[in-house]
Amino acid sequence: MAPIRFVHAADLHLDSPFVGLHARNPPERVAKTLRDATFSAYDNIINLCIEEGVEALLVAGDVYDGADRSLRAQLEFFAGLRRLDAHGIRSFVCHGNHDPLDGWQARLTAPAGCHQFGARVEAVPFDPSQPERGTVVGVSYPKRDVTENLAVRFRAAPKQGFAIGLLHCNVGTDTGHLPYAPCSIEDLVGIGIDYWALGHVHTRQVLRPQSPAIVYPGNTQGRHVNEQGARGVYVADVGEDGAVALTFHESGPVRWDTAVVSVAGMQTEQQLLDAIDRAVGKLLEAAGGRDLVYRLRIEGRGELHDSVRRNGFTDGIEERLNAEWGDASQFAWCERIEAATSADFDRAALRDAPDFTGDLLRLIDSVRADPTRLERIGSQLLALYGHARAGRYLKAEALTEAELVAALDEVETACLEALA
Amino acid sequence: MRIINLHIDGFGHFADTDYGPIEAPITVFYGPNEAGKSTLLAFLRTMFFGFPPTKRDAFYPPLRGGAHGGRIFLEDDGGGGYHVALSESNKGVVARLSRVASADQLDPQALDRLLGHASKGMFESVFAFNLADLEKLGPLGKGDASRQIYSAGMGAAKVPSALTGLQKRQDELFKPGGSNQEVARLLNELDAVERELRESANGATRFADLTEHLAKTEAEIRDLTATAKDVDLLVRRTERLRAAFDDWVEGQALEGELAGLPERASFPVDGLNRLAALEERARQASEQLADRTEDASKAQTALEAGAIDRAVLENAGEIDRLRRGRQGFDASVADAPKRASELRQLREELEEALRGLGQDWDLARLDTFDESIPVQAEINAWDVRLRDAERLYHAAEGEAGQAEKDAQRAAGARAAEEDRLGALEPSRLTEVELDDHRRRLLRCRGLLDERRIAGMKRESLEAQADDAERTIGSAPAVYPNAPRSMLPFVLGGGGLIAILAGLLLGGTAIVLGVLLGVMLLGAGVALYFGNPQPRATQQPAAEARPAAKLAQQLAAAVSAEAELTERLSAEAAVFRLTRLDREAFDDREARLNTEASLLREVQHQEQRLQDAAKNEGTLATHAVEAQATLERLGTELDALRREWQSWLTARGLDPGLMPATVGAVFVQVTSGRKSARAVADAEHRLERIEADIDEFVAAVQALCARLGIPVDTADRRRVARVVDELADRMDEAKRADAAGKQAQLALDEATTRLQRATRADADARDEVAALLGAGGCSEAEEFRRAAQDDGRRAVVVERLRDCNERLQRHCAHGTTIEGLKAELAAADPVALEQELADLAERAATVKDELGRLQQAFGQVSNELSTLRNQEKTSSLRADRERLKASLSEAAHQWSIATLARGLLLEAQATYEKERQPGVIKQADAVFSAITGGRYHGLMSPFGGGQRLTVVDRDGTTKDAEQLSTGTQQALYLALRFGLIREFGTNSVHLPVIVDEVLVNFDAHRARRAAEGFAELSKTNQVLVFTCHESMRDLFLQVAPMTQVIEIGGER
Repeated sequence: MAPIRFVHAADLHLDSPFVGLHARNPPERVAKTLRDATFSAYDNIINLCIEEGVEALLVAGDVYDGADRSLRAQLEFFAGLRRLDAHGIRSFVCHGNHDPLDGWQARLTAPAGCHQFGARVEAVPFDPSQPERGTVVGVSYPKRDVTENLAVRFRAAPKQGFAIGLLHCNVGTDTGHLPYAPCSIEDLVGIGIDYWALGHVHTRQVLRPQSPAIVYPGNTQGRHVNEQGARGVYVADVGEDGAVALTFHESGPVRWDTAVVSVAGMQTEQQLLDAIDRAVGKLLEAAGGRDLVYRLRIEGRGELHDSVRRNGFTDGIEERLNAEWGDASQFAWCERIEAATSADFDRAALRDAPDFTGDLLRLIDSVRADPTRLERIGSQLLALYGHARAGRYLKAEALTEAELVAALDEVETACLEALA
Repeated sequence: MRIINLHIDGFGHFADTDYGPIEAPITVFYGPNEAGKSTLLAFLRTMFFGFPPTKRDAFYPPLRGGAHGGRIFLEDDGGGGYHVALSESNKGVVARLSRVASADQLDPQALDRLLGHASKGMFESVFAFNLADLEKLGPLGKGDASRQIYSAGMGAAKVPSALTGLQKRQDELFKPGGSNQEVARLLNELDAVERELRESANGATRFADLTEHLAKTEAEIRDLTATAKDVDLLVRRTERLRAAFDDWVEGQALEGELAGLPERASFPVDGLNRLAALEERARQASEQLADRTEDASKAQTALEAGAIDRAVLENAGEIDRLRRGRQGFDASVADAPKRASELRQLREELEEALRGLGQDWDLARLDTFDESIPVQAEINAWDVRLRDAERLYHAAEGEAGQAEKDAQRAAGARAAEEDRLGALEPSRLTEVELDDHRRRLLRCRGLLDERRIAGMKRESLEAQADDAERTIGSAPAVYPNAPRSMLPFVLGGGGLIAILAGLLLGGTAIVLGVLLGVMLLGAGVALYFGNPQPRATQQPAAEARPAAKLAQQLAAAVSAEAELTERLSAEAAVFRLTRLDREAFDDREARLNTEASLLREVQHQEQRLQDAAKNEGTLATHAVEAQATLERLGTELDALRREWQSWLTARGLDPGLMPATVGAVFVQVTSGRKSARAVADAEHRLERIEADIDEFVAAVQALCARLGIPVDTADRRRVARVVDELADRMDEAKRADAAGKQAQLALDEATTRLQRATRADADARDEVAALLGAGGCSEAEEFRRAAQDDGRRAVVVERLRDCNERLQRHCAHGTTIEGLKAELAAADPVALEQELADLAERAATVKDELGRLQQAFGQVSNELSTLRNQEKTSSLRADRERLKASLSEAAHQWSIATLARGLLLEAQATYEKERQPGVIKQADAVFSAITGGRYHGLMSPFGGGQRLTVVDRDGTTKDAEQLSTGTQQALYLALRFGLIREFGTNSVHLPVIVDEVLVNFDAHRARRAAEGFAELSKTNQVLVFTCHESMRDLFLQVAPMTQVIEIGGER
C-alpha cells in the first residue's frame, strides 16, 4: 500500500465568538484578532496542508458554530477548500451537531476536490485516481439532536485499502460534552475502519493509537477559559504497512490561560501588582509567541484581602493590565479578574466563638452538609433563574447542588465582609 | 472598690464635712429634703471624674467657705487603700491620688484603673443615678451601656447594616418586574443584539437571491457580448474595404508604369553615389602619394647630415662615474687638513685626562679598570649601609638624652603629688559606711511618711471615738441610769501624753514613750468599751457593737503608729539624732553629702599619686635602655667603617675616600676612556679620506690614458678640470647620437606611408573600373544614364510594395490579399458607406444594452461583495457572548448576595432566640423578680434600633414604651442591675449610688427591688440617698447590717 498523508481537523466553529469575555472596550486590534481567531486558525490549517504537502484535509464536523451558520463562515470555509483544490489537495467534510444539514446554507459551489458527506453513510475513494489506496467513510448530522450510534452504520460501507471513518460523535460517557451520536471504543473496533477521524470533543486525545487509530484532534482554537493550551490538528502519516504516525500542529492564533496570584504574605498593593506582572509575563512566555487571553485569579488569605475586595480595585488592575499588555505586538488580554481572597483570620476560632459570627459560620457549615437545607436555601434563586425573560439565558446556569456548595464559600466571605 | 471616708472641704452647702467610715454593704444616707443628698451624689461623681471643663467655679460652689473640693478614702477590691483629693480654685484644678500604704503619689490613670475604666457617662448612668435618670431609657441608650444592652460588641452590631447592604446589592442587580436593574439592562441589550442577528440572517437570504440574479445577468451579458462581437466584425470588414479601396486603385496605376520601364538583369545598387565616392577616393590617394614621397626625401637628407664622438661614448659609463665622484673628491681634498688638526687636539685631551687620574694611570689601566654596574651597585650599598648606621647612631644619641630628661621630670611630678596628698583632710567614713547611711536615711524617710499617715488615721479614729462618747453621753432618754467613769479617759489621755513626750524627746525616749502610751491608751479603751461599770438598764446590742469596733480600730491604729515609731528609731539610731523629723534627716543627708565629697577627693588624689609613681619608674627604665642602645650602635658603626677602608685598599683606591667620592673617580675614568675612543676614531677617518683621493686620481689617470689625453696627477685641480672636460665631451656625443637615431626613424616611417599611399591609389582606380563593369558600362557618363532608369524602376516597385502591404493590413484574419483585391474589384464605394452607417447604428444599440446589463451586474456584485466581507454578524455574536457573560456574572453576584442575606436572616433569628446579651439575661431575671413574675422574656431584637421587648404574663410581647411608668422604671432599674453585674464580671465592682430610685414603686415592688439591692451589695457597695423614713427602714429590714448615716444635722 502506498503511504497516505492527510490532516485531521475538527470543530472549527468558524465565526464563533469567544465565550465569557466581558472586559470593556478592547482595542480594535485585540477585538479583531479575537473576532477573527477561528478564521485565522482555519487559514493556518489550509497553509499547513499546502506546506506539508498532504493529500487531503478531513474535517470531522462542527465547521460552523450554529445551525444559523454565518455567511462569512461559509464563504471563508469554501475559499479555503478552493485554495486546497488549486494545490491538488482533496477535502472531506462531515457536519455535526453545531452545523447539521438542516441549517441554512448559502448557494456556494464546493470545489471539485471536495466531498461533503450527507445524512447517509457514504464511502468514497481517498484518491479517485487510485481507489485501491484507501476509502473515506463518513456521515453528517441531518439535524442537531442525533442520539443514534452512527458508528455502527459504518460497518456495511464498502471499503478499499486504508479505511478512514469521518464522524462527529461522543465516545464514552464522561467527556464533558453533550452525548450526540454516542458510542464506545468497543463500537469503533472491528468495523473495518483503520483510522477514526472524530470530532466533537474539544480536547485532543488519542483514544487508541493503532488498529484502529481513534483520534480526537480537539478544536482548532480555544474559545473560553476552559479551553486552554495549544489547539490544532493532527497530520496523520499512514505507512505502507498501515501504521499511523500522528504529529500535532497548533493552529489557534490565540491561547487561553489562567494566572493565579496569591496575596498570602503580601503587605503592599505594589507587591501584588509586581506578582501579577510576573505571572502575566510567564503566561506570555508560555504562549510561544501567540496572543493571549487570560483570566486572573487573585486568591489566598492575607492583609491585602480588604484592598482586593474594595469596590473598583480589581477593575483598576484589569484596566492597568490591559492598557499595559493589551497594546503589545504579542498582546495579553485580561478577560476577567476573579477576586477569591479571604481575610486573614482563623476560621476555626471564629466558628467556635460564642457570638453571632460563630453562629453564622456554624449555620453555613450545617447548610453545606444538609441537602434538604441546601435545596431550601437554593430555592431563593429561582426568582432569577426561573424568571420568564432572564431564564432564557440563565436556565442552563442554575446552580447544581455541588455548585451551590461551592458558592457557599463565596457567600461566607460576603457575609463576613458585610459584618466587618 | 469601696468608699471608706469622704471629707468635703467646700461643695455646695457642705463645708469641712466628714462622712465615714462607711463599712456596711449598704449605707443609707438619710436626711430631709434640702439636706444635700443630691449635692453629696454630685460630690462623689465629681471626686471620681472631676469638675466640668467649663464654669467649674459655678458647679456647686462652696457656699459656706472652704476650698472648692474635698477628699475621699477608697479601698480597691483587694483591700488596698487610696486617697483621692480634688480642689478647684482660680489657679486651676489640683487632683491627687496616693496610695495609703506608701504615700506615693500615683498618676491620673491610676484612678481610671480603680474605676475599672468606666467612662463618666457609664458611671453616671449605671452606677450613680437618681429618680430622674430612672424615668427614661435615655442614659442607657448611649455609649458603653447601649452596646452592652443592644448586642453591640457581640459580633452582631452590623447585622442590620449588613442586611441592608446585601438587600441593596440584590436590588441593584435584579428585581422581578424591575427595569433599571443590571440584569434588566443586560436583557434589553441582549434582545437588541438578537434582533440584529435575526436581521443579519435576512441578509443571508438576500445573498442567495443576488447570487441567482447575478448568474442570469451574467448569461445575458455573455449573449449580448457575442452579438456585439459579430456586429463589430462586420463593421471592421466594411471599414477595411473602404479604407483599402484607394490603395487598390494606386496599385493598379503603379503596375501599369512598371510595365513601361526597361528591366536590367542587375545593376549596382546606389550606383551613382558609389561611382562619385570612388572617383573622390582615387583623387585623394594620388594627392597623398605625392606628399609621402616628399617626406621620405627630407628624412634621408637629415640622416646623412649627423657626426658622433664614438670613443667618448664607449667610455661614457666611466666618465659619468667620475663626474659623480668629483664632488666627493673635492670635499675630501678640502677636508683632509681639518681632520689632521682635530686629531692633534684629541690626542692632547687624552694625555690631560691620564694626568688627572694620576701618574700610575696609562691607557692600559684605563682600559682594564672595573667600573661595571655591579661594582657601582656595591659602592651604593656601602653608601646606604654607612649612612643608615650613622643615622641610627645619631637617633639613639638624641633619644638617650631625651629619656634622661623625661626620667628627671617624672621624679619631680611624683614628689609634687605626694605633697598634695599630704595636704588633704582624711575622710571619717568609709565608702561602705557611707552607702549604708544613705540607705538607712532613705528607709527612715519612708517610715516617717508611713508614721505620719498612721497618725492621721489614728486621729480620725480618735475623733470618731470622741463623737461616739458624746453620743452615748447625750442619750439619757435611752440609757438614763448609766453612770460615767473617768478612769478610761484618764488612762487614754495619759497614754497619748506619753507618746507625744517620747516623740518630742527623741532617741530611745521615743520607744519608751510610745510603748507606755500604747499600753495606757489600750487599757483606757478596753476599760471603757469592755465592761467597765454596771448599767441600770440593758443597752441594745446594736448600739454597743459599733463603739466596741471603733475602739478596736483605734487600738490597732495606735499600735501600728507605735510600731512604725519603733522601727524608725531603730533605723535612725546610727545617726545619733536628738529628734526624728524631716529637718533632722535633711541635715543628716547634707552631712553625708559633705563626707562623700571629701572621700571622693582623697580617693582621686591617691589615684593621681599612684599614676605619677608608676610613670616615674617607667621613664627611668626607658633612660637606661636608651643609653645601652647608643653604645651598641657606636660599636657597629666603627666596624663598618673599617670594612669599607679594606674594600678601597683592595681596589688600589685611596682608603680615605668615601662612597660618594669614589663615584667622582669613576666619572674621570669614563671621561678618559671616551677621549681615547675619540682619538682612535679621528685617526681612522683621516686614513679613509686619503685613500678616497688616491683612488679617484688613479681612475682619472687610467681613463685619460685610454683616450690619449695627457694629465698631471700631482695637480689635483688639473685632475678635476680634466674630469669636467671629459664630461662635456660625453654629453655632446650623446646628443649627436640621439639626433641620428631620430632621423633614421623618420626615414623609416616616411618610406612605409609612401608605400601605403601607392597601394591606395591603385585600389581606387581598380574599384572604379569594377563598378563601371558591373553596370555593363565602359564610361562613367554611360553608367550615370543607366543608373537613372534603374532608380525610377526601384521607386515604382517600392510604392507598389507599400500598396500591397497596406492592402495586406486590411485583410481580415484568414483572408488573402488576392481575396481582398477580388472583393475590392467587386465593391462600390458608395454602397460601402451606406453599409457602414447601418452597422454603426446597430452596434450602438447593442452597446447601450450591454452597458445597462454590466451596470446591473456591478451593482449586484458590489452588494454581494459587501455581504461577503461583512463582519457585523461576527461582532454581534461577540457582543451576545459578552452580554451573556455579564448577565451570568450579574446573576452570580445576585445569587451570592441573596444567599448571604438569607443565611444572615436565618442566623439572626437563631441569635435573637438563643443568644441575647448577658446584660439582658441578668436584667430579665431581676425584672421578673421585681414585677413578681408578671413579666419575663426581656429581649433586644435585631434591627429594631434601641428596642426592648418583654413578654407579659398572658404571652403578649410588649415594647418597653408600652409599659407603665413604674414598670418602665423597674425595667430600667433591672437593666442597670444587669449592666452592674456584667461590668463586675469583666472589671471591678464599683459602688452603686442611688438617689430616691424606689419612690415610684408600690410597696411590693419596692421591697423586691430593695432585696435586689441587698443581693447586689454582696459584690458592690451600695449607697442609698433618701429622705423617706420608710425607705430607710425598708433597707434596714431587708439588710439588717445596713448602716445609716444621717445628713443635714450639721448644717
